[in-house]
Amino acid sequence: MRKLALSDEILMKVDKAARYIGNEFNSVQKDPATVDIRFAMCFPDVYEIGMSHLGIQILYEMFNRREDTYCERVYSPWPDLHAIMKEQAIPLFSLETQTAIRAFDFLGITLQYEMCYTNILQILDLSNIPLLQADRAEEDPLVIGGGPCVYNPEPIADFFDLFYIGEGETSYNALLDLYKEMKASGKYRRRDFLIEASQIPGIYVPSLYDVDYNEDGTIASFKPNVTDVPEKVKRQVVIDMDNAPYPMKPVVPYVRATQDRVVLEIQRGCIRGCRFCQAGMIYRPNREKSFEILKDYAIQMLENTGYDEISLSSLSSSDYTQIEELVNFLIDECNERKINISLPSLRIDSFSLDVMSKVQDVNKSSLTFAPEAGSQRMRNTINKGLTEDDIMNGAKLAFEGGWNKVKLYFMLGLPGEEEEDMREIPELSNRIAALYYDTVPKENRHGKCQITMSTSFFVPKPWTPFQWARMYEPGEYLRRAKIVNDTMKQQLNHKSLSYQWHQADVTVLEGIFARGDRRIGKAIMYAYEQGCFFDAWGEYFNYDKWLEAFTACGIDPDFYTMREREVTEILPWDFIDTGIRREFLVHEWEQAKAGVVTPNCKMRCSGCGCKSLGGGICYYEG
Amino acid sequence: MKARIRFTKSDALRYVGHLDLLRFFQKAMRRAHIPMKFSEGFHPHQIMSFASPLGVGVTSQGEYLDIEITEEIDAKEAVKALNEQMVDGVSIRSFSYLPDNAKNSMASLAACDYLVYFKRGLDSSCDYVGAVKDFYESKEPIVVTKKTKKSEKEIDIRPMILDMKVGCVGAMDELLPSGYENPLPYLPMEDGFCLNDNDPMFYLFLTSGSMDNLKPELLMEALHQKMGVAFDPSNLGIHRLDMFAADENGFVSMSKG
Repeated sequence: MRKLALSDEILMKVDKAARYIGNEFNSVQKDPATVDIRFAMCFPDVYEIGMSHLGIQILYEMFNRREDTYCERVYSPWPDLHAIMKEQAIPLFSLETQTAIRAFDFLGITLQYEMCYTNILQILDLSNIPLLQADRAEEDPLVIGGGPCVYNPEPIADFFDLFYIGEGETSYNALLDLYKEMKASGKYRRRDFLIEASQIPGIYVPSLYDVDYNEDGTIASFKPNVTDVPEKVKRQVVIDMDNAPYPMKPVVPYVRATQDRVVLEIQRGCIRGCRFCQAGMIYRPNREKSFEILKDYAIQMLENTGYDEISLSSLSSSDYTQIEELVNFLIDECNERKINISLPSLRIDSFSLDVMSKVQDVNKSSLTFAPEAGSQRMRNTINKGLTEDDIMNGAKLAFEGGWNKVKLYFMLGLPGEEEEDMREIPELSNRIAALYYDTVPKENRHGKCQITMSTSFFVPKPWTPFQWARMYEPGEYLRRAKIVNDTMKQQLNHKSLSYQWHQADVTVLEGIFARGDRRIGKAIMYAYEQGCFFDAWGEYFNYDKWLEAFTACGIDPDFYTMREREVTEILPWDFIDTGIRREFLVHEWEQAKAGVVTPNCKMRCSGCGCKSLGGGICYYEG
Repeated sequence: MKARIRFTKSDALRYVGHLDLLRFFQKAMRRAHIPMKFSEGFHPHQIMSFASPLGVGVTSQGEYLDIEITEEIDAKEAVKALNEQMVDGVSIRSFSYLPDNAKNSMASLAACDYLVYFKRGLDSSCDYVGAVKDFYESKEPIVVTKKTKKSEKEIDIRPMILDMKVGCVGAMDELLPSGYENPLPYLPMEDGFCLNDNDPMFYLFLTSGSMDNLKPELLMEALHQKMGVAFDPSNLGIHRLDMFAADENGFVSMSKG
């Protein structure tokens, strides 16, 4: 019988003990004595969130296909268990074999959002691994980061031995081979390994680079401090999507995960080029999986897991070439098997409404539109290729189809936003509500229509045309939300409208992390030591503690948020070669200011530079 | 068509809660291709019910799950197919058909029997043999305060105790009714609990179900109260042995249909 790392007394005390016991169906069992490499894969948030992440499942599958490697999982212990582990000095452990993380060769941490940064420190702290890379001993695990936040890893550079920049499927095997070879030949020394690893495409070893700053705080230079270490690190991209590893037997959790279903990734990247969207840039070029492969994967994964629901994963499902064939195939298969289908990121049109009326209860469900901005001027600025006619036509079809609940997503604080643009958010919503009353005759209405507007505050992200844009102080964001709210109340159909807005102070902190440099790391460590963690969870987020941390570390947050950057400034992430040309981003930034729309990749190539990566939409015929 | 599945729950799986176990079984049924019957409606669900939820941390060698299926399948094949979809800590022991008019196990549940021990906090000066004799074999009412979500009320639990014995871990077979499977493989022997040969172990046979539900913790609390000894219910280890329905001849194991 497996011995658990936590005692019965603790497991009976903590919330959802099943988060910590491993042993889930499809989890991989190996004898650790028979492998050369032990890899602990971590999502630094609670189990239910971490288990919902597709990327980890892909790497888990890929690593465990190697006979010489055993990849196990670890997630953030919830604060109740965290307190017990600190008090009783219980080291953090892997789920599969319940082994202390410090005994592993690698600790891989996926970085999906900035607000998990303090949880990285929680993981290291509970594992008894020194928080700072510079303090680690030979026998400590190599700490490697990956995921979307590595497109600017600098704020957390001091905590990592390496970063993997790009899609994990391409270079990880080379890294593991190198490690195994150096270990076997007795040549392994931590620093020697890191220097060797920096030669592998996509591997960034922050300790091998020095940053100098100008008097005004901007970066003066960023260069390797060891000869032959590459100046630029090349983003890794999978070209042959059909033959890339995929988790056909994903681990099935006991506790209900956020994503409690089969996830079918249909494509990577997006053709749209919305100027605020980091994912739309860093996953270029758009690459589809073939319909034949997806049919096979869907059936196999349903069979191997027993899930009663399947969902498509993609940035914009409607843009998948054979979306109609795929959805019709799934509807047929799933009807027979009594399986639910969830179809996120579908554009509202007659096809998608027809499909949705088949897979959900029209009376109970709501439809989601993401106009992102209220005015056409702002939608042009952000390159959301969506006109008011598109929105109104979609809404009309939806109302005719029987829906009366609509959710609308917008952003506030976009570059160049004027008061008029803010007021357009409720005004557009009001026009949609009016359309309902015009479209649906009284006798067919089930009460009022319900239009829910939701705004998030815009955070400029690296590698987007808005990477140079300024942000605002929390009070200014709230002022803008108030304008939306006040304008809503003046609308004729205000009783059909409701409005929710995002927390403003979290936005500012996210903005600091997103475009911060290496100097930020000190404040993250300070904040963690003062008790900040689970910052992505409203009930644990404490903005005052963060402000105190910046002050204590001599950091001026405004330097990172309130400044519009010159396009000539050296940005902390410039050492990455993502394939996206700087000239393209500068041009898009100018087009945004001029309110000019850029066509999508299917219409015309705009020369972003990613064609040089050799695949995807850039090479499709027709 | 109705069928009853008997299964065990032990090891790390004892920390998996009732609803999560239900979801685990729903997925296992699909993987094993059991032809489950579904409810009507927009989100059909499998027709499936447990006889009685098992508390988190409790082990069992006699749990029951009733299902409805759309076509007859071979019972042995079903056990085999389901066991291929289990994880360490749950195993399927039997699959048997019920008459179409059979009440489900939840409705017919009338009693459960348990082995009870100390996880920790065992007071070795206690004479449990004498205490149980005093407590159970005297015929006086045993009045306890039963707390529900709404109210507290005083009840006599004596009629709910069908049997109560004490022995020691090393001789637990003497406590068990004849024909029972050896509980040892399901008990958490390596968790450092008070499961040494000489440690006390209780056999409790208690009424259960919607009417007269007596939990082992409540009975053990009453016992200790009578003894005048402090008692912390979180120190108690509980292992469920079997569940019973009532008929004119008394109590019958759920496994007998």
